[in-house]
Amino acid sequence: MPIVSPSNNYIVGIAKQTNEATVNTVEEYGAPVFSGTPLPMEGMDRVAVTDASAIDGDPFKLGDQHWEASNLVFPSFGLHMGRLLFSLYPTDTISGAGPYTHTYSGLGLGTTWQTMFHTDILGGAVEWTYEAGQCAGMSFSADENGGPLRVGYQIVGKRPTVASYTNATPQSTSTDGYFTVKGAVLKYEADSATPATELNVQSFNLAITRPVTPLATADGLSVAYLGIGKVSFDFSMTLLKDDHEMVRGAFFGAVGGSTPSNTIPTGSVEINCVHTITGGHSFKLTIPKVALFETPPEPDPAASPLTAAVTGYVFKPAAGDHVQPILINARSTAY
Amino acid sequence: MPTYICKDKTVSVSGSGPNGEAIGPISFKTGSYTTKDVNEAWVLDHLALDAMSKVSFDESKEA
Repeated sequence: MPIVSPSNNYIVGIAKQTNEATVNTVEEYGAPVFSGTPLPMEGMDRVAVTDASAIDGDPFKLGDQHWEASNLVFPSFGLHMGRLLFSLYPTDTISGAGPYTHTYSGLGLGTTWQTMFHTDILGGAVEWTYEAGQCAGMSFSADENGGPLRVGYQIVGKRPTVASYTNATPQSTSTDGYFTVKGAVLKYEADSATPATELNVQSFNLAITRPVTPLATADGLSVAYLGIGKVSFDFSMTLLKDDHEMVRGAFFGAVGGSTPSNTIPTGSVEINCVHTITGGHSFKLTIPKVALFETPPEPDPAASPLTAAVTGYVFKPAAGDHVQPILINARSTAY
Repeated sequence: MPTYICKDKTVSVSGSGPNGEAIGPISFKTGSYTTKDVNEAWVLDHLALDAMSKVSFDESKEA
């Protein structure tokens, strides 16, 4: 009786390219995923002409062959996450003598090209290489259930090929550990640039999006140009409701306000993660200036716990990037 | 080419050039770095203009 393979035998790799044309053949980091994979993409249409009988025209390919990974979600591995961050932030400034502090900056400027890799889930000989990708966004989320900080990753690239590559030893949750917010400090403040430690965050999601559009040409069989869009931010969190600050601030312009106002109070958020294995390693995301607006909660006859849904509108801060990641890990060289 | 300084001599910088070229790592182990090409200046300019960065322009070398 034939055997059908399980679908979890999967590792996805990534490596920075030195330039657009030089495609890597060696993985720099390989990692397991919660979900998602790079996929070859193409569009099909039909030749819209009349016919002797009332039947649809023949299909043709649009010439927009490229590749995308729109739903990759990784555990937050200490070394691997630095590579992902450097594909969205164009500058990594490293300092220290070990562990090493990687400070990422320059959102909105051009970023390095990435190659991604994976072996066909069916296993064996078919190895996919995804050439010349540009990061289209990252997200960071956690909730009360614990486990690794979840890192969403989106990337759009030019050309998928079937080509063999050299594997890296994949990252492992047991031997490499990961970053988690369990046991770390979460901070926010509705009306101050200095966030305070808070204990009522049930979950959060921070997404940094930079749309990348594959641009086909009249004669190209596959996409040769990528259109880079502008960076945007989405932040949300669910709080176990314990005060009236944000809902008053949203409508009345101040956390103690009581009449309608056009003023937008701005606060700040700091998300800290600890590492499960190495105490000196950490990951921090700072949003220096953000309006935290709460939607007033609805009453519930089922007597569910009162929670507050908060949306963050991120502002340009006085200095630095809108969202500022700092990664402390064992990598001694800048990414 | 312009020169940049950094008091923290453990600082090293990687970056992306205007066409996505990988630049660096650029080491500040002597406290000072004179760029070799416009792509390195592209990366360090951004840092020198960032008030939060440890890297700054070497104003003593300016004409």
